Amino acid sequence: MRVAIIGAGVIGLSSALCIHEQFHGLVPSLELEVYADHFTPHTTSDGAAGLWQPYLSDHGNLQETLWNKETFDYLLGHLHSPAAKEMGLFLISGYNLFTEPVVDPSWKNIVLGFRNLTPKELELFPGYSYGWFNTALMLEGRSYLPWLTNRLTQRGVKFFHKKVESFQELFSQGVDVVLNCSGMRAGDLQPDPELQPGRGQIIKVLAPWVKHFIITHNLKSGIYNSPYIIPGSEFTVLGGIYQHGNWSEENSAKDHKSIWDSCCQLLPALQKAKIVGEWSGLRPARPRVRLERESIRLGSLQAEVIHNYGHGGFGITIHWGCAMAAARLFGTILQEKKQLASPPGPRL
Amino acid sequence: MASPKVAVVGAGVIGLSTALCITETCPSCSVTVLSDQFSPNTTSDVAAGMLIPHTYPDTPIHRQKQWFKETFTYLFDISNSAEASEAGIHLISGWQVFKSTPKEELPFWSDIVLGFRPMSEAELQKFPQHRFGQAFTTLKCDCPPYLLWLEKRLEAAGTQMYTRKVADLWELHSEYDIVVNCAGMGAHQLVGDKQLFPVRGQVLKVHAPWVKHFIRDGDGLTYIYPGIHRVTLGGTREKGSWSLSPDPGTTRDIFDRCCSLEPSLQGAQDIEVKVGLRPSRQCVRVQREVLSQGGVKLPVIHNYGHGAGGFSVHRGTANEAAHLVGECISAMQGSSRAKI
Repeated sequence: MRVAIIGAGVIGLSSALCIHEQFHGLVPSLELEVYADHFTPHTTSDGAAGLWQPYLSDHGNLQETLWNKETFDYLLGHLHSPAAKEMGLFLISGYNLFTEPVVDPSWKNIVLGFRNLTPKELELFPGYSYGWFNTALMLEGRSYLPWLTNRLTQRGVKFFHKKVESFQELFSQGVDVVLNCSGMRAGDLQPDPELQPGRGQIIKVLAPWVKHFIITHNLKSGIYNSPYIIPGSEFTVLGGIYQHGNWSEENSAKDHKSIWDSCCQLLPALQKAKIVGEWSGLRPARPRVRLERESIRLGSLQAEVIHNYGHGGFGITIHWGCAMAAARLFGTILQEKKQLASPPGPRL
Repeated sequence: MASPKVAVVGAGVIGLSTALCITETCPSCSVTVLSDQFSPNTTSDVAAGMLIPHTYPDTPIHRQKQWFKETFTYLFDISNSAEASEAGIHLISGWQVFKSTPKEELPFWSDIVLGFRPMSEAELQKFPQHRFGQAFTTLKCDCPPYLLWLEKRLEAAGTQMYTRKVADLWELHSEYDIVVNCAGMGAHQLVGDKQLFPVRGQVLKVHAPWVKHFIRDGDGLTYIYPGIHRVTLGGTREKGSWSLSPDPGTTRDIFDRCCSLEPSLQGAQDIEVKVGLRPSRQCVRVQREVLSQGGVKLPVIHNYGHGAGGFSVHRGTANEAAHLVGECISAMQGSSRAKI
């Protein structure tokens, strides 16, 4: 049973790991292969700061809220394991700031210690009159992706550095199931007008005195189009750009200035911070995540594709819940192909 | 007295902040700081500089609260300014956890720090050996940066600073009109205060930049305080011990206790061991005294004995000491007018 995963970002690698963990014992012939044209540190997941935080509203996608929770709980369970440091996993607290009162988010009971900001705390952020404080998690792609790669390599998963041009290409080589975790480029494999880039740009600085994340919100401009500051383990990420439909991965001087000025206004001490890098990436945005099976007829064969893409700016936040859901879909496929007597494990 | 000459003995956080307050409240004063040690070799440099007050048994609580409030407000404003990183002042959130519920669930300072509240059940899960906890956000003064920043402000105000071991306050009477004694542990020798005793603290300073929260065991013995570049792991409270030599067994013990609170510290690098003697007293001595010898008078303002709580109350006691200096000058000017 050959399974090919297209994409080696957080979605591709975690889906591969989840499937291998659950099924390698049950399906002796299981062979996993990861195909990608970009590997860490050159994926979209590597550029993200790595903060676990969903968008403000789930737009009624309760399933996504559940996947977010599963991911948080899974990561929290790993926090005290010896692997945490290698995974790039640690707790972080911080502030979400608004210019007017807003309803509590769907994730208020998922994170730890969620509460409103006190008047004294709001004095720290002139111009903002309302906000939240909570403790969440950081999962840095620069560490997590290599960690996933190591786990997969140990399990005998093979990696291929190539750009897959079509699902057919893999099926004609004898692959039985394809996991489509191609993120922003899913449209190259199968047109999807709902998938659009949400271009982001970030400045990396050295500001080790900043211990909290600070995310501002401008309800009119939309998510992540308002300054944010996220301290990592080696550098701090300054951002605040979300340009829907912009495919450019070049750093823009105008966006740089916008990020720099707005973040320095938020935290004046940043003026003294040393800039150590800049990066632009494309959030694979979609009204909802595409996580579903598709059966493709290829002559007399029925080929199976599991799509798992379109995680926008919350890929790290939702990845494990989606990996588990993809694994469940895989289990169903195995059942149908009579590779399994019954579905494995408890259903969530 | 046109330009009173004030000597401040001691260049730790108390000496420097007191000197600075004096330049602010008495611009006509000429202030000189004298100390045998300057940053990075003061007791203050060993301390983590966390704003979590120590309770002095014999100082009225309202006075301790006032000192803490003034200090917190002062540092809060700096942390919010462009100078924050240079001054080494930053906000930090975290948890104080208790193995058994403390008698006092609401310490006197709970409304001064930010966002103080009991920890939720979910938060306590991270500390399986602890049953109760408090979550809050406070400030940290990193040293050397904070002391160097104070020195810079002093220089800008025209304050001279000299490395000099003062063996006896009387040495200073011919050169200075008023002496301010911020000698910390040195006051034991300098003014023979038998009520002052060392409480030895050993700490580790490690590289663990993924640790973003402070964690303190309510017993005060085990704590993890992330600073700008290093995390301070502690500690010990050895009453009466004068030893400044790091003890390897203690190092191991501190590391183990901290790893049990925060397992990821197993991956900490570059462990540096430091020792400091907390200049402890039942109450902080902020007091005027006039020394007298052979008809000569020497006004002295004491500001020492802050023990484990120096950073938490430094600005408040510095303000009070500077106020006493002002009173002293008024008294001297009053008496000199009387002589005319």
